[in-house]
Amino acid sequence: MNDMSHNDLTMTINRRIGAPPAKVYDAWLDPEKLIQFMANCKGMTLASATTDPRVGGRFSMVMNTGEKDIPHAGTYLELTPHSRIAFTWESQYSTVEGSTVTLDLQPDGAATLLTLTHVRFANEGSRDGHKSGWSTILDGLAATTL
Amino acid sequence: MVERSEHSLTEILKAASDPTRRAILTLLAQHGPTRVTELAARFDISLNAVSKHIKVLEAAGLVSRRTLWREHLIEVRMEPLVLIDRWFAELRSIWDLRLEALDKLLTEEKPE
Repeated sequence: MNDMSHNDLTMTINRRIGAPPAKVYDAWLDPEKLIQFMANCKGMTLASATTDPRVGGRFSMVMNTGEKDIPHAGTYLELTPHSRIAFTWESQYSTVEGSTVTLDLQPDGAATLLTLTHVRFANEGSRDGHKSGWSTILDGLAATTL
Repeated sequence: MVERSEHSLTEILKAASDPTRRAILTLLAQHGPTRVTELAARFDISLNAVSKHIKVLEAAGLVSRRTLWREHLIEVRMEPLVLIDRWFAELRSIWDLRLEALDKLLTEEKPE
């Protein structure tokens, strides 16, 4: 196994971006900028992007693999200028509801410390009082595969 | 990326998206094969409700059922969870690449 956090399927990435939080914040809400950085993976290009940066507003982007279009979209949940952006994340393979992405921006001199958190199960409930940690289940998996 | 495994992953994540079903998996992982009636009693939900949850988990390959005398024993299957691990690794690398591109974009944009 590896060292990533499995607890309730939360993934966190920390990264230093060489620009101040205001620039980083604006880039995430600017369709022209999104086109330039969101598709930079696995030979994809971003064909189009739209944003409606207000809480409850929608964004959408269409990635192209050369063969087919893969639409991504979401709704802004939180927009706190220059420190936090949270949105739902819907993609072809994210058919389970409750996938959200949160970006936290901390100034670090002239740069930004960005923390990206992708949570699979945002509507985590404890209605029956039972613990339902993925870590326990996956500890079992680690033991099984040893 | 293999389409078939993506399909299973979707099923697995759907099955696991419900807190009660995750609690059932956790309990099965900790206690080993358990009777359906015992699961229903532990979660304070009807036998019918627990049977429905188990059917969803079964369809995703997360549990299997065996019959001992007249009792159905439910057992957790860990193998499909490997797909979740793989999905996590892929998701991480995609966001890593995007953040790298963002950094590059904003760094190069600065007037020199």
